[in-house]
This record gives sequence, C-alpha cells and structure tokens, in this order.
Amino acid sequence: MEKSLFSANHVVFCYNHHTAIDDITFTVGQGEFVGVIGPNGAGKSTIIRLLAGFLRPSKGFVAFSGRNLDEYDRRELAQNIATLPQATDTPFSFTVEEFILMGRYPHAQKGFLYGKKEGEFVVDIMETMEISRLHGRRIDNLSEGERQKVFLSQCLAQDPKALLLDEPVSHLDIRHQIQTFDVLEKLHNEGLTIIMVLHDLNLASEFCSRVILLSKGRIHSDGDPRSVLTFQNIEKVYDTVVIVKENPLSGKPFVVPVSKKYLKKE
Amino acid sequence: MNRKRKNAVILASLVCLLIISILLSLGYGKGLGAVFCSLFTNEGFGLILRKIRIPRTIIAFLVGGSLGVCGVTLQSILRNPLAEPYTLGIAGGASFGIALSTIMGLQQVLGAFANPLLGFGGAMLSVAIVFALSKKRSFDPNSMILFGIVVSLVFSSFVFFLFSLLDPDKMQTTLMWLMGDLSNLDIAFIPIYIPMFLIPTSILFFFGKELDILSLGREKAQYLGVNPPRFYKGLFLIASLLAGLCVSASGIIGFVGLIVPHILRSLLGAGHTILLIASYIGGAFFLILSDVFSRYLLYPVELPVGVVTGILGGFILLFLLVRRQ
Amino acid sequence: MWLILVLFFIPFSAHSYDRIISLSPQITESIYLLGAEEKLIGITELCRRPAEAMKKEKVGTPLRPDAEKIVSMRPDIIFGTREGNSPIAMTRFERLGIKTYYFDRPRTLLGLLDNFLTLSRMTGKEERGKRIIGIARGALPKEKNNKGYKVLWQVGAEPLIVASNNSFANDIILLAGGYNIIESELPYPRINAEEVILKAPHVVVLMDMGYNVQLEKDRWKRYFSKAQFVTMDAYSVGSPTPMSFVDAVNRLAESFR
Repeated sequence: MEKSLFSANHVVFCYNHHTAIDDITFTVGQGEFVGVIGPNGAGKSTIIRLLAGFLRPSKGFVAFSGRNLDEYDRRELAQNIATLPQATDTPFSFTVEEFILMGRYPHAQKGFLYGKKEGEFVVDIMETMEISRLHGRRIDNLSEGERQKVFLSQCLAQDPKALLLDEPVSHLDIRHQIQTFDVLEKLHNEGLTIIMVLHDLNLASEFCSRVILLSKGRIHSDGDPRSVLTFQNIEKVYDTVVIVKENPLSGKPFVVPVSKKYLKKE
Repeated sequence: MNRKRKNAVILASLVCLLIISILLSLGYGKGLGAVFCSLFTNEGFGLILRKIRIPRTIIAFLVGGSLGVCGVTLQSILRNPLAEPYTLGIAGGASFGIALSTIMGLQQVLGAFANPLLGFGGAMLSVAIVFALSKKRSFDPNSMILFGIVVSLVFSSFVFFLFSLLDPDKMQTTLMWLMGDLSNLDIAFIPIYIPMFLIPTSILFFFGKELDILSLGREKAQYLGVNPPRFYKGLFLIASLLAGLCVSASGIIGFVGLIVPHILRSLLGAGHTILLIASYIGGAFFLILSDVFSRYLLYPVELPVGVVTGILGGFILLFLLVRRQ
Repeated sequence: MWLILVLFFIPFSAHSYDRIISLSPQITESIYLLGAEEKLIGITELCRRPAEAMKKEKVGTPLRPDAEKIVSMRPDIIFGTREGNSPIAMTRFERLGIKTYYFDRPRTLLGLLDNFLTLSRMTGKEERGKRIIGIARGALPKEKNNKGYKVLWQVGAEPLIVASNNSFANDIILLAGGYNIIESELPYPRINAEEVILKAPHVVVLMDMGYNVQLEKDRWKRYFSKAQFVTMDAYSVGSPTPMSFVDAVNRLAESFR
C-alpha cells in the first residue's frame, strides 16, 4: 500500500477577500508523479505554496508524512521537501557549485563553512544531472536550459523525499523541456515523489502518472491522464474547444486546441 | 582547486594592503624607523603617534571594517548590490541627535560623550521606528528600504529646521558630522569602542551561509530551511547597531559600505562567508587609506574623511559602472 | 578701482543719517561706542552688546531681516556687512527705495579703524570717532617683545578649526607681539592636530563660540603642560569695535608674560 506523503484536508485559502482555494482535499502517495493543471488563476501556484508550507491555509490543514506542516521547523521541512518556485532569482553571480551547495544547508552542520562531505555531494549531483562541465561558471552566465538544471540540482542537493515544482519548463524550448522531463522521470523511477504545476497538457499527459485538474480553486478531476484529459473536462474548465487524440508513440491522450476558424457556424 | 587558491591569494593581498595602509597611517612623513623609536617617548613625534595616529588608525580600522561588513549584510538582505549601511535610514536620525546635542549645549554637561552618545541615540531611534513599521510587513526588505528613506528624510528635515534657528557658528559641528570625521575621538573611548565594534561584527561573520540563501528571496530562502523573518529581524538589528556605532564614532562616512563589497564580490565571487571577511579587511584598508589622504593631502589643512571616501569611492563606482557597458 | 571706491564714498560719507537700522552686531556695538544710539531705531536679534542695546526694537536676524517691519519703520539707511548679511535682502531694500550701506569685513586693524571712521561720519559723530580711534591706537602695547611667542587661535572644536596667519585674528596676534603657528591660505582652516603638537604653542586662545572651552583646555594641557590659555569671546573676532579689538590685543600680550 502506498504510504501517503502529502495530504490536504478541506483546505481553504483566502487573501484580500478573494478565495483562491475553495475546500480542497486530496492525498499524494509516496512515489507518485503528479501534474497539476488548470487555467490561469485556478489556484495552481497557491496549491504548491500551501503544500510547501510557504502559505498557511485559512481553514483546514496540510500534512506531510502524517504530521501537520505547522509542527515542522523550517530546517526539518527543507530536509524532506524541495520546492522550486516560478522565479528563483538572485542579484549576485554565484558560481554553479556555490549555488548548488546552498541546497545542502538543511543538512549541513552549523558552522562557518560547508564541510567536505557537502562539497562531494554537490559534485555527485552535478554528475547525475550531467552538468559537471559547468563547474566554475557563474549562474548568470548560463543558457536557460543550463540554469534550469542548476536550479533543479540545488533542489536535489536537499536530498528530499518530495519535489514540488511550479512551472519549471514553461520558458524552455522543446529540447530542454524534454530533457528536464527525462531527468525528472529518472528521479521518479528512483523513488522521488514529484508534484508539478504545468501549463502544457501534453507534457502532463506524457510524463505524469496522475493528473489533477483545478478549476476556480476546486478540484475538477483527479486521476490518471486518460480519465482526466477528456475533451469534456478540458472544454468545461478551459472554456475552449479541443480535440483529444492519441499520442502515436505512447498511446496517451494528446490534446489539440481548435481554432475558431474550424468551428461550424451555428 | 583553482578558485580556492585564487581567493586565498586575493585575501592575502588584501591583508598586505591593510598592513601597508596601517604603516602609512602611523609613519607618514617620518618613516618606520621613527615609529618604532618614538613609540615610548613623551614628546614630539612620540606624542603625536600615541595620542593621534594610533587611536585614529584603530578607529579607522574598526569603522571601515564594520562598514564593509554592514554593506555586505544589507546588500544580501535587500537583494540589492547597491545597498549601503545607511540605506535603512540611520543617517537622518544620527544627524538629528548631533544637532540636538549641539543646540542643547550638551557638551557642557556630558563633555566629550555628548556627541557620540546623542548621535548613536538618534541613529537607534530611527532604527526603532523603521523596525516598528517594518514589523507590520513581516520585514519585507523593499518596505524596509522605503521606510528607511522616509524616516531619514523626516529626521533630516528636522535637522534643517533646527539649523534655521541656530547661530551659523554652531552648525559647524553638525555639518562636519554629516561629512564624516575621524579626528574627534577622545582616546578614552577606544577601549570601550573596541569590544562594541568587534562583537557584532564577529556575530555577522557566522551568518555567511544564511546570507547566501537570503539573497535568493524570501520564498526560496524559506524553502531551503532559513526562517526569513527571524533572520531579517536579527541581521537588520545587528547591522543597524554597527552602523549606528560607526556614525557615533565618526559621523557619516559614505561609499565604504557600498564600494568595498561591490568590488570584492566581482573578484571573489558571491559566496558570503569569504565576502564578509574580505569586506572587513577591505573596508578597513579603504578607510585607513582615505584617512591618510584626508590628513596629509593638504597638510596642515585637514579634509573631512567622508569627502575623501565620497570622491574616491564615487570615481571608482563610476568607473566600474561605465566599464560594465 | 580706488577712484570708484572714493566716488562711492563721497555721496555716502558726507551725509549723516538720523534714522538708522543696523543689521550687524558689530555695527550696533560701534554705534553705541560712538554715542549715536539715539539714531538707532532697529537692530537684529543677535545684537547683544552692549546690554542696553537689548531694549531696542528687533527687526529679525542678520541673515533674515524682517522686511515688512523695516519698511514700516521708514529708516534713512540700513547698515550691513558684506559677509554677515544676505546680499539678496539688501538689494531688495534698495529696490524698495531704502538706502543701504555695506561695510566690508576688515582684514586688519587698519581696515577696522577705517570702517569705524566711516561709520562715525555717517552717524554725525566724526569728532568722537576720531578721538576713540586715537585712544585705541594709544592703548596698543608699545613694546613689541621679540621673543616670538607661538600662538594657537582655536575657533572651533570637533572639528579643530583655527584662525590662520591669513585671518583677521592674526592681526591681534601680531600686534600683541606673537606669531601664529598655523600658516595657511585659508583664513579659518580645519587642521590636523599633529601640526599643533609639532609646533608646541606657548599660548592657546580659546573662544567662547559654542564649544566646550574647559574640555579643550584639558586636552591641550595634556600635551603642553606649560601652555597659557586665554579665552576670548566670539565678538572680539566676529564683530569687533576698535576698543574691543585693542582690549583683545592687550589681553593676549598679558599672557605672554
């Protein structure tokens, strides 16, 4: 039986008199690869932030490994969950190693500098992510794809049980998108639990074992891609006409948005 | 590894520069031999050495180093490589304190303590106000900057208001403080100042790792296990305390806290642990050197050291910015 | 240049005025010295000497004279000094049809006496003015002792500001028979204390100018155990009359003994 890692229980989140999340309940088991999709403003980023502990629910609670998020101190949480928000920026040009090393903070001893052990951990991660050649480079001097790998590496340096990602590939070209997902799939196969917000329905379909479709702060559908990504669900939530075909290679649902010019006049 | 060796070399060079500047500050015009010979004599150069040059060098060292470290800390918290120790608003408060002290003639009552004490008090008052205001925004750095600017402006307006009531002569002291002045310190203060400066500074040295992470922003810092409000609060307090001490000892000396971290960051990389140490050494060196200029460029006329750091620092900054294009 | 100055003088200095406003403490004190105070209808807040002057009508400060009040008092002339008064304010009075006259800040005793003479003519007290000048001259120390006493004239503390050999105060030092240890192009430079220690003055002149005189005295005593101290009030340098000037010279000369 899958051990439940995350659970949201009747979570409501409001800010500025606006209800972003309107009574959501779900669990994510260990080892799942979940894609969270939905139109803009549906509450996707908010969900990630709630699961990561950055936002506190107005009502209800979020639990990790059976304990309420509130009960964890930040360091402990960071040892278990790594979160990559949409914008990770720094005004300073750290080197790639310095940057990834920061991911070791939750595990590192308190002291002046990071230990030798931590440095070696970083070297290993860079090998796994195939960015060893970037050693010594500054992070503001990398291509988009390389930067994304470095950000991911920082997350992995936390040696987490779960990885939360908020639109990690939206700004990448298709080559880097596929590359990133290949890496994520490999990590998933090694046991990492991944919850990811994304825009691209087809990537979600292809790589995620489970898809949650959000609409206006509530869960509209939740299940495997085939049952969630139907044209009925998508048209209802996104308010746009689509055709759903089958991906020729994997057999998974493939969504094609339909332009107005193809619609018959009523 | 290559980078580590490079950094070690740079640090070593900084230390050498610091030592050279100290020797210059002690021995200018007389040579090193004279320094060692006269150290224990009671007149002429020995007197100058013990009563003027040594205390002044010590203070320049403490203030310069503290400004450097403060600059690094604030630049990280505010995620802005152009932040300065005075960005959080203590300049206005400190000058207000000094102006008050001058008007109320507190020197008659408190003697040499009057100005440093009131300057520090004024600085801490403005820190307290900014702190209270920032609390409501959970110490969001951008709000802190805004509050700092406004509070400083308000205090400065008060100062000008006080100026308009005063005899022009009495304004001299306050004006000089606004320009930074290392000449005023009573030697008696040195033993008090040394621990007061060194303790907060050493505390800051330990937070290099956290400063790295805080520069990523509140959200990401939290995800990495650092508690941003607690650190913003604590670091902000310590940095303000240090900056307030600097102002009370020597008035407002600009650019040191800005230039030194800036230059060193491009040489050493952004890792804050090394940057903190290097900025202390670099800041001390820069200020001691500027002080030597201020003392001897137009001897016997002395320039306010804040003017020297302003001009030197300003040119260096301009040069760097232009080169970046 | 001199010709123009002379021409400037004639229309003014020939005339004596009856309703006078003084915008400078120095001029106010001098007017009292000349015995012309009944002609003085207005003075500034900062004109505090002599004590009786405090009873006169106040018209603001040297830098901010109360224009409305002054105009309503209908003076014959307004006296000011070039350094002490705002030229903008003075020009404004001119435009309103009120005569104004500038005295230049004197650089030497001669200049001071010259101003005093002019003032005496313009208040109709030329005789008395000349007499006072004579007395002042006579009161100067006769014997110039050539011992070359070194003097430090401290104008400000924190930061250390002194009167150099190019200042007005220097004249006092010279006439008293000493010499200024600080040489500079600037009249009131901010200097490095090292120079003072190096030159080891015999006499330190401290001024009652807003800094703590006792503190400075204690400080200098630590370096120069044998130094003498003389305290002058700010007026003797800032707004001297011939008498107060000569008084200062004599006090300084006293300290040399």
